Amino acid sequence: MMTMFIDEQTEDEDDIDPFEALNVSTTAPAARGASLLEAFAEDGDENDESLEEENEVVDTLEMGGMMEIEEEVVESVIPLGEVGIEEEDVDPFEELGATRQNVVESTNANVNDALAAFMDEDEYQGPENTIVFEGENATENESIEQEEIDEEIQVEAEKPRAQPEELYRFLLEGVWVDDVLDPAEVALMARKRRDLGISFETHLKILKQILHD
Amino acid sequence: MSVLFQHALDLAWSDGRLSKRGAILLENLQEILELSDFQRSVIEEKHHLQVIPHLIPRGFGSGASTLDQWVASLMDLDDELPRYLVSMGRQSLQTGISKQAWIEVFAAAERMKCEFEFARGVWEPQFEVEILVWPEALDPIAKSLGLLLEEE
Repeated sequence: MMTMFIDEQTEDEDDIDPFEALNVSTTAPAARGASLLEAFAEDGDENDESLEEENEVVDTLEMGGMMEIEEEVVESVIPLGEVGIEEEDVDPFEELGATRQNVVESTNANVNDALAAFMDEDEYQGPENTIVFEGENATENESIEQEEIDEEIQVEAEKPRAQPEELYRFLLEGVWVDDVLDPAEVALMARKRRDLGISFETHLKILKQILHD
Repeated sequence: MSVLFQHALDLAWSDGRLSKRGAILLENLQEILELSDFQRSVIEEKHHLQVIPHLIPRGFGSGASTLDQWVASLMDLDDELPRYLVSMGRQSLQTGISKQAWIEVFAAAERMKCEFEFARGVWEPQFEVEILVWPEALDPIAKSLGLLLEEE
């Protein structure tokens, strides 16, 4: 790979070695490994030399060093004045041409978040933020969404709730799952009959239907 | 439904042969229990396949007398029958009732016009039930409910 990079160098780059510029060692990994081993093997006077070699190798491995290099490259592309603390404050919504509307501050109490329809009424506290893109009319959207939510609520209200008999049938079917009826199950079913307002005659009718299905 | 008629067949064939009297008593019981011919045929076919081949003939249909006595005992229970069925239902619940046992005994109770009482004994824990020793005539019911072992 390294040779490919070297081959691709052009004269326009004024013979600048990119590895040198990036402070990257061009020594083969095997050679670096050998030199490291030598550094451990040598004693005394040769310590300084080996330290230098070690430092050189360590420099190429340190991430900190690499990060510094990257920062330098960025600085060279983007003027320093443009990069700073202000960059963190850039609002991505503004960049996309959308404006953020704070509904909490507005006096409109209408629910305008379609997700609200999927939440429990008790838990839902209303949206805190909504995003309105440029060219869209916020109030119009709110009224449409409100209509949709009203429709959904109406549909939910019109939906037939589980009949007590159906619920009781479901429970009674569960009682026979293990094929044996015990006193605890009987007590449970008696309580359910009371709760659901089901007569004993209805219980027998449902029981017959279950057992003969 | 089959519990009672099945027992009647067992009694009628108890010595390995069915007498004419025994056959007449079975006809009578069919009427008492309000069984259709089809319902009776289903029970009899099962009995012919599973029981009769294993019987060793050792008499001339003396089982008819036993059958007659049993039917008479059952009829004599009359007003007492609901009380016994409630009690048996409650007692069987303590050990657990299988689905099959419930179906069989409830059907038998229906034939004896006591299904509501039996069901109350099983399904209404708040309903006070007197624990009674059932008469011998109700042994087939007790057997189905697991209150009586087969050997007994």
